[in-house]
Amino acid sequence: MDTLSNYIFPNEFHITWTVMIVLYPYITGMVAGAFIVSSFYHVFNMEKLKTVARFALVSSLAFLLFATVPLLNHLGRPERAFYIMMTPNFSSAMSGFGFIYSFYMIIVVLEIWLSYRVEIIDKYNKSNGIVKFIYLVVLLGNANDNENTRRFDKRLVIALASFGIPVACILHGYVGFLFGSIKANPWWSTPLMFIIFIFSAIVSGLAVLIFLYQFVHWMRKRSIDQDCLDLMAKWLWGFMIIAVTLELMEVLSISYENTERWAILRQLIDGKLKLSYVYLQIGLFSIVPFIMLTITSLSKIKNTKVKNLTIWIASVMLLLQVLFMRWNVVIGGQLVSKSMRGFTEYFPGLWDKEGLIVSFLIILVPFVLLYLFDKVFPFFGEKSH
Amino acid sequence: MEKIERRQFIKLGLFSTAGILVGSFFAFAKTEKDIEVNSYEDLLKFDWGYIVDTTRCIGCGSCVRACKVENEVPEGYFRTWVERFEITKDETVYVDSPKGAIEGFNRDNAQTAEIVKAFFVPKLCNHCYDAPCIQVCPVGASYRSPDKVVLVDKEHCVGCGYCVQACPYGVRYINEEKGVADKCTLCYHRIQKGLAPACVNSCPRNARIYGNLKDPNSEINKVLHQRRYGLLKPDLGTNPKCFYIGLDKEVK
Amino acid sequence: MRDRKHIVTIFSLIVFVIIIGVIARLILKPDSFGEHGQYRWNAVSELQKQEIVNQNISTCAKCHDDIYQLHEKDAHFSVPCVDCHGAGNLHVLFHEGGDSAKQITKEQAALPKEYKLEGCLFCHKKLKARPSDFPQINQEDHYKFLNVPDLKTKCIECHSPHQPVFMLTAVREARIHPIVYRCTECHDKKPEQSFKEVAGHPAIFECNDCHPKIVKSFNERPHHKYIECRTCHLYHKENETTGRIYKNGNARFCLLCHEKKPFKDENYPPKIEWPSHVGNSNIITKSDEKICLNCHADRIHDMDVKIRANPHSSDWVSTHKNFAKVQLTVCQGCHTSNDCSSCHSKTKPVSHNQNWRKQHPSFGAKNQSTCEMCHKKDACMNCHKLSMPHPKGFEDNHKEVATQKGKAVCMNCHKEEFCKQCH
Repeated sequence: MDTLSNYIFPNEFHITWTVMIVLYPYITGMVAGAFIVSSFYHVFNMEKLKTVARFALVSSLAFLLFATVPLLNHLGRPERAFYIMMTPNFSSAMSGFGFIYSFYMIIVVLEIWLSYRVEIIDKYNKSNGIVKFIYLVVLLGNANDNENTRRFDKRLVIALASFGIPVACILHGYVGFLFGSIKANPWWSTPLMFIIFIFSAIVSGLAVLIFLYQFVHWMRKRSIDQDCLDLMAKWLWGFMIIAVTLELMEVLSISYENTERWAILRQLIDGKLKLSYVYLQIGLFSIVPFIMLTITSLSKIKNTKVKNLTIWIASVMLLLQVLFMRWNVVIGGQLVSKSMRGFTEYFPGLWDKEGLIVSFLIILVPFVLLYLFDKVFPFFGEKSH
Repeated sequence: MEKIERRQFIKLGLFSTAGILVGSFFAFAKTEKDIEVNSYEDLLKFDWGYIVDTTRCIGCGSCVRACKVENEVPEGYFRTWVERFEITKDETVYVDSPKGAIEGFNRDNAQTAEIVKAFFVPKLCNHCYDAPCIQVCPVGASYRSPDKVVLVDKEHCVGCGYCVQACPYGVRYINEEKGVADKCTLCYHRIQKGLAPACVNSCPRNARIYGNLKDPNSEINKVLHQRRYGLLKPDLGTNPKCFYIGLDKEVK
Repeated sequence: MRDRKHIVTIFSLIVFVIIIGVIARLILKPDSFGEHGQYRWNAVSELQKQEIVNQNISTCAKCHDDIYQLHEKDAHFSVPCVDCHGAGNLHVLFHEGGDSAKQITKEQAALPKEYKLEGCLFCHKKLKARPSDFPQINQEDHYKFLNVPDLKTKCIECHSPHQPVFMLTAVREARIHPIVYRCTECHDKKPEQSFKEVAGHPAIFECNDCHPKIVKSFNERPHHKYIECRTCHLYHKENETTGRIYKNGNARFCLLCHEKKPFKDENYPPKIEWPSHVGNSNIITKSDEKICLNCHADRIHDMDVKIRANPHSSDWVSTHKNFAKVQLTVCQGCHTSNDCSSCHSKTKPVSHNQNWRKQHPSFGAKNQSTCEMCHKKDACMNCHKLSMPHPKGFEDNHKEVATQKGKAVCMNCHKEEFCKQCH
């Protein structure tokens, strides 16, 4: 029977998970993606990635520091946030958050500390006064630097990097699992959600690295490590194919099975999500970058400037694709009523506590942090045109 | 002389301060009302169930108003509500619940002459045996009491909203003022004293029944053994404890 | 070893932080958490201490028992007081007195007497979604049926909220009855034909199926054209197959239609002034709720506007004394004082003329009680020397009496030739 009236349950007029919850998986996605790129250098000895390895690692930390901010902003009682670690209910996917986050933070901080130890010791030796003291504190009072220490450090870094890959996957994957395991929501409930999130996280990690790398070098008029960029672009192409294929397969599977939820989800895709999903996420920001990256990866373009520009535009589009994917999943799922008969509405306000301006700031600050870090410990060498 | 005086003075100061503090504690400390609470063993004897008889509901909305008054439910949110279904000759379904039916229903939704079947369905928390909201609470603020009522610990909830997403029936919401999750408590404070929940009390048609499922002689068990009833979304495995007599296939 | 010192340092730092975390958890974890499960046990008792707001009927009945008694027996028995009058917790606390009453003002404690939201129509307005057995009206149609011209007339002008339909038997004790249908449950208007004349119509119970005689006599009466069985036989559905039906006959129910009121049409349906129709007030006693039937019919289905031939029972002449003592005005509804004095005067009744001696045996045989109105019971003895009339079988047994008392007794009435009829 057709439903003519748009009916939602009375409590569904206001959605619970706002744009803050869109940002959280987006940011942790970049955390996980960036870390995995860095780890590929350390663990699998992909020398071509050396240029961006440390940069990827620090970006991972920069985003990680800001991952909890949207969550705390969204909680009804942020002052009670530590209950998650004090009285965790382990049947809940969310209860792991505190422990996984802390554990991963330790791994990343440790790895960065070990990676940068040589530079810090160098700075320590060259400075004096309070700055010298600060560096000593950072070194935990031990400025010992020789062949042995460097060897131990390297080994430990490799161990941490390899150990960190699954942890990074869990850090971001559990969010996907969280959504995919909510049987009550017809748009979210799928076993694939965990995998989709991880793959699109890698896409966003690679995309942000390419984006920043090219942007910084363009700003500073420095020359790019073309091999590194080519490798990252190829991987971006590969992972992007997998991620988009999985996303589309999921929807295809629901429509083919044609169970009860397909009727309302079809209306969702045709209606409320037509712009953000069909036209933007899939249409503009998936198909176009796919074409672009296919060309740059498979054919030989002589004009590197054009090639690099194409890659850069593709990575920007893919960054937006991942953002829209998070939006369509989180917000889209809440627009559908559990009565299966209607849709509610949502758009974040401009100045709200969980509004657009705050979202913009939250995304911006990690980049600012990276910029500040670069001031102290430059990421990229002195090579210029 | 001076030293001893000083020492004595300090001693006097300390003791009097301590005395004032202790004294004021007793003077100003609020004595908690002496309300008897049931012990754990007592509570284990109960398993509170609920029946909604959709063949009897007239959609007056007394239950919604009574619940709001009893539990200070915030504006725009509902612990219980009434839905209306109207099916017309051309097999179209019209569903509505104007402000959760807090002011009743004013007129027919579809064209009166076209309606062939119509009924009301009150909804509330199903207090499921396998409640997904309890499973997903990260801090253990959503729990099941020994007498199997699903409750929210307002002093412990962090307001993450996971339980609101996990509930398939849409009965949970975040109380914006308090920043915590909230939902029907089956008027826990009333049923412990033998009083019916506010909604059951106020229904003029006995369309809502509650009782102890562990008591074989309770009214609820008698009705369950006489009438045919359905559950909402049984395929999701939540094992709800709210039984709907006269449940139609259009009700989701 | 020295070269690994920095690694040891940082790992120790991490372990230290973890230990701090564990200690912090032990200290800061809410007490009573985990006692009986993954939740804070104290929360259960905290929840039990929440204040009770809505009062239940038994609380109201403690003070308002008079209203409660009416309410319990009538159709609104299942409507709790809080539905119309509000939650009432402040009212109860205020009137209970004590500490908590001191903070409540009189205004806060006052409960609204009249229902706010749209009045009675809030529940009783006709909606398609309301179950068909629930009494619901379209206001215009209802007022048209009753010939009440002004739509602003309040429902409570006829229906008291605590006693809306004046039931004689509480609904819960009314008889169980198989489910009955009205045509209007499916059809918008009552169809002209009976369902039996329609091919393929689902079989339904009609009152006629089980109660043909009643339905037949009802159909010959004036009420037939305007009301149907269930207008008066209020039906209360319990489930899909049974319900309870209510007999009725309450005068006050009849008055809902037939009492003259300023807002009702004067002539239609026929109206009477009440209680002057039957004399003074206090007419309806507990035992006499069906007073209309006393004059207008033996059974309500045979009800006619005209008064039935002789409304009195056969022994009325002897039993009317106690009734007349308290309800003389009722008699005056039909009888004039002449009717009384036809028997009640100091002079002889008209019937006692010179032919009375001859006529009185046949009268006295049948109406001895009438004689006893004036004459004492053994007055017959004065003339007859025997109790009159003769007992059964006197024909066979009169020998002893004749012997004992002598033939002279018989000769008071009988001539000698009379004995020769047998002897």
